[in-house]
Amino acid sequence: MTPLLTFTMATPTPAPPAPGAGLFTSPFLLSLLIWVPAIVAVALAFIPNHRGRYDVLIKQIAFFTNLGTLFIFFIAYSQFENFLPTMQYEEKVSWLPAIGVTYHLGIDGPGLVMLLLSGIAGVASVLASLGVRERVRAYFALLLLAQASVNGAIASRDMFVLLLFWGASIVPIALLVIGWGGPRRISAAWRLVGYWGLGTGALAVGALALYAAAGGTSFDMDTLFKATISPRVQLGVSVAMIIAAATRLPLFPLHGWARDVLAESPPGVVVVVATAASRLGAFLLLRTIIGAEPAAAHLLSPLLAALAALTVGYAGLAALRTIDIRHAGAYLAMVPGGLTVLGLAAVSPLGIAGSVLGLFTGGLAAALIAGACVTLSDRAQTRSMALLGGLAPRMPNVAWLFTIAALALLGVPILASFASEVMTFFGAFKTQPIGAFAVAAGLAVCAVALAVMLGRVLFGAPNPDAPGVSDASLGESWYLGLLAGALLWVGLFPGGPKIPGTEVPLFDPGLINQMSAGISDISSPYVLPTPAPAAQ
Amino acid sequence: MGRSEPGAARFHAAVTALLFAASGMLMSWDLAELLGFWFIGGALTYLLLSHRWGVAEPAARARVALALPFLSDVCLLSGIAWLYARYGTQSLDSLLPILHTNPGWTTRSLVVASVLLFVGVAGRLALWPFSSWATQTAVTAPPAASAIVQGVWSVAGIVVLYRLTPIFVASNQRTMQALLAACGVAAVVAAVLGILGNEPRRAIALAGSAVVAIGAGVVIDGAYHHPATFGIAGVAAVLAVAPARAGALLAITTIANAMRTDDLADMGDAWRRMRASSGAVLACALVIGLAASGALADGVSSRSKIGIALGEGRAFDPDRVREPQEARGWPYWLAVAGAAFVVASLITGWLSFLDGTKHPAPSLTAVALWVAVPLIGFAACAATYLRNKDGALGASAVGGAWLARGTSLLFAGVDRFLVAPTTDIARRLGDWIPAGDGALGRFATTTGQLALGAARVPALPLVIVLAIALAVVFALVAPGVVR
Repeated sequence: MTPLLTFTMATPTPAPPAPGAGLFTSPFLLSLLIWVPAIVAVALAFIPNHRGRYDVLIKQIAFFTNLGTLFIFFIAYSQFENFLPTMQYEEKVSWLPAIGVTYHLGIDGPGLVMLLLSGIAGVASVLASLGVRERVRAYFALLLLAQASVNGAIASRDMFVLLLFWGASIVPIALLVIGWGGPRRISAAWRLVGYWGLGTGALAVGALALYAAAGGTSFDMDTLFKATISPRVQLGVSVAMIIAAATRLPLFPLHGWARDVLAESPPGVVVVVATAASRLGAFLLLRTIIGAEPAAAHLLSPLLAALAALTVGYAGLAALRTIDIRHAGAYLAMVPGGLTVLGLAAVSPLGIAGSVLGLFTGGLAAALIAGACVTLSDRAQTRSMALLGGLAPRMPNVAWLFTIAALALLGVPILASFASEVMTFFGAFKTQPIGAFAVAAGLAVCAVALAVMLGRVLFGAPNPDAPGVSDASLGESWYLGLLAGALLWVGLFPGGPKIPGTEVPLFDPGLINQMSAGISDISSPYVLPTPAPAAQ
Repeated sequence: MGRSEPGAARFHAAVTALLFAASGMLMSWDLAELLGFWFIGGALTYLLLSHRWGVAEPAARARVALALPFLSDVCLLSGIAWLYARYGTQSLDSLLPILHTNPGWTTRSLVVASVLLFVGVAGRLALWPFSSWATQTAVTAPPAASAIVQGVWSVAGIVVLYRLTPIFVASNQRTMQALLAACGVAAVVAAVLGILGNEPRRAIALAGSAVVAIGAGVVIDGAYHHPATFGIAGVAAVLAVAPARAGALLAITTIANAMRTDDLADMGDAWRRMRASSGAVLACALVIGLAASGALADGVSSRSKIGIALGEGRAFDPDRVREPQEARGWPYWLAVAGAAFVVASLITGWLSFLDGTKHPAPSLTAVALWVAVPLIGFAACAATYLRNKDGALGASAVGGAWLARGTSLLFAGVDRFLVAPTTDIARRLGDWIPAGDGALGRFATTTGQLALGAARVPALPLVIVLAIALAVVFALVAPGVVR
C-alpha cells in the first residue's frame, strides 16, 4: 500500500522497458483508435442485411473491431514512456489555418487511462449487446461511432477538435437510446440531448473565451493552456467548463439525464455511457481547470468539493428511496463521479492522482453497478424491488457480479476502486476536509442503500408472485465479468506484475506507473512547499 | 455451519479469506495497509453473516452488518486520511515520534483523529451502540459464521486499538477521559441490555461486547495513566474472551437447535439431557466472566447460561432432545483455549511477552479481588434462579419486550423524521429535475425534438435542402453581392 501512496510524481524515473517494447510503432496510432471504429461503422451501415441474414457477422465484425482496437491500444499502453511529462503519440496536421485549428492528437497518463477505459468499455458493450435482435446493423454502427467520437474527445489536443468530438458523441448515443431503449426511451433521449447539448454549449463558450483571451490565433491546447490569462477570465472559463463537466459526469444538479438514460438504455449503451462517455466530464475538468488554470482551480475547489458531496449524498438518498432497481443502479452510478471530482477539488498531487485512477475505476464501477441492475431486471422480468427477492440462489452469476459491483462502489480492497478512493481521500483531507467528510458521509448512505438492495433483491426470501427468472447469458456474464475483471486486475496489480525476482514488468507495466506520466506536470503548481524539519 | 446448509465452498472460502484479512490487520504497521485489510475483513464479514441465501430474516438482519460497521469503517478511513493530511505519513513507525513535533500539528487535529479512529475501531469491536450488527445476526446467521466473526473482530480490533493508543494519548486529557467514558458506558449498557430479553445468543453477544468494552477501556486507561503497565492487560482479556464467546455461541446453538427454541423460558433440563453442551456453556461463561472480571458482564453471561443448564423441561418433548456427537468438539476446545488465556492473563510473563515490556507482578489481593467479583456474580445469579427462575425469566422477558418496543419506536422515529423526509426530498427531486426544471427542461425537450426531427428526415431531401442553403450562403457572401 505504501508504494501506492508514495509513488513520486515530481520526479518520475524511467521504468525498465516491458519485454517486446518497440516491436510495433505507428505514427498514426491515435488516429487508428479513432478512425478504425468510425470507418467500420460506416462500412457496417452499408452492408446489405436483408431480414437480418448477416446479423451474426455484423456482431462479429463489431466485436473484433473493438478487440483489435483494444489490442492496438494495449501496444500503445505497454510502450508508453512513463517517465515523460509530455504528450506522446502526437499527431499534428494543420486543418483550418485561418482560425488556428489543427488536427492535433496526443495523450499523457490521464489520457492513457481514459483510452484504456474506453477500449475495455468497447469490448464490454459489444458483449452486452449480443442479445440485440432488431436493426442489428444500425445498432452496431452507432455503437462504433459512439466509441470513435469518445476516443476522439479523449485524444484531442485542439479545443476545436475536442468540441467537435464532444458534440459528435451525443448523436449516436441518443439515437441508440431512442432506437433500442425501454418504454421511456424518447424522454430519456431528449434529456440526454438537452443536458449534453447544454454541456457542449458551455464547452463552446469556454473554449471560445479561452481562444479570445489567448490572442485568437490558435485553438491548440498547448497554446491556450500556456497563455497568460487574467484570473477573471480563468474564472469565467472554469465555470463554463464545470457546467460542461457536470452535465456529462453527471454532477448534481445537472444530472437530470442520468436516471432515465441509464435506466432505459440497453446494457451495451449503459456501458458506453457510464464509462468513458461520462468520465469525459472529469477528464475535461482535469485538463482545462486543474491542469491549466491553477488560480481558478484554487478559487473554485470548494465549489467542486461541494458538488462532489451533494452528488454522492443525493445519489445515496435517492437510491435508498426508489423501488425501481434500474433507477437505483443509475443513481449509484453517479457516486464514482463525485469521488473523482473530490480528488480534483483537493488540488493536491495525491488527490489528482487518485482522480486520474478514479477515471478508470469509477467508470468501471459505475458501468458495473448500472449494467448489473439492467441485466438483473432483464433476467428477472421486472424492475420493481417490491417484487424482486431471493434471486441469489437462482441467478448466482448475476448475484456475484452484483455483489462485486456493490463492493467496488464502496471501495473494498482487491478491487482497483480502493486505491483510487484511498488516494482521493488522503489528498482531499488535506485541503478540503469538510468536503471530504461530507463525501464520506454520503458514501455511508450509499452503503445503506446497497445493503437494502442486496438484502432485498439477492439474499432475501424469493417472492412467489414475481415472474420467472433466469441467470445471465454467456454474453451478459462476460461483459459484467470483463468489467469486474479489469477492476480486480488493477486492484491486485496496480503497479503491474513483475517477473519473479526482478523489476521487469510481466505482460502489464502497471496502470499506476503509466498514469503517472503527465500527472507531475498537471499537479506541479499544487505541490506544497516541504515543511522545515522540526526542532528536536 | 450445519452440514445440511448449502454453499459450503463459499462459506469456507470466506472464512479463510477473513482469517487472512485478520492476519493482515494484526501485522500491519502501515495505516493504509491496515485499512485495506480492514475493509476486506468487513466485506467478508457481511458475506459470512448473509450466508443463508433465500431466507428472509437472515438477509434482513445482515443488512445491518453491512451498513452499520461501514459507517464506522468510513470513520476509520477519515481518521487515517486526516492524520496523513497533517503528517504526510501513514506508517506508525514514523508517525508516532512526530505527533507533537511535526510543523503545524495542533491538539485539535489530534482530537479529531483520535475520535475518528476510536469510532472506527469501536464499530468493528461491536461496542454499544455499534453492537447491533453482532446481536442482530447472532441468531439468524450460521452459528459458525457468527462465532468466528465475533471472535476474530474482537482480537483484531483490540490489537489495532492498542496500537493506536499513542495517538489518543497525544491528543489531550479530556479526549482520553471521553474515550474512557465511552468504553465504560458501552460496557454497562451492553451488560444491562443483555439482561433484558430471553434470547441466549443475543445475550452472549452483548456479554462479549461488554467484556470487550472493558478491555478497550483498560487499554485506553492503561496507556494514559500507566504506560507499559496494564494497558496490555486489556488485550490479554479480550484474547481470553474471544474463543470463549465463540465456544459459548456454538454450544448454545446446539442446545437451541435441539430444543427448537430461542427463548430461555422455553428451555430447560439441558444439564440432564445435553450434558456436554451445558458443560461447555458453563465453562465458556466462566471464562467470559473471569476474563475481564467485570461484575455486570459476568452477571449477564452467567445468568443466561445457568438458566439453560439448570432449568426444567418446557415447551418441547424432552425425549426428542439429544446431544449431537459434535457437541464434544469445538465448544470444549474453545473453552479450554479461553481458560488458558485467562490464566495466562494473570501471569506477568504473558503480558511481558505480548508487549515486550517487563511488568511488575500484581498483588495477590488484587488478583483475589478481581476473581472474587465474577464468582460473586455467578453465585448471585445462581441463587436468584434457584429461588425463583420463573420470576426472573418473566422479568427478563418483560424487559426484553419493553426494550424491543423502545428500539422499534426509536427506529420508527428516525425513519419518520430523518430517513423518510430526506429520501423523499431526494425522490421528489429525482422526479422533478428531468420533468419540471423550467428552462432547462424546455431546452432539453426542444433540442431533443430537433434531434428527433433531424433523425426522421429522409436523407436525400435533407442533403438537397442543405446544398441549396449552402449555395445561397456562398452566393450571398461572394464578392459583389455583399460589400
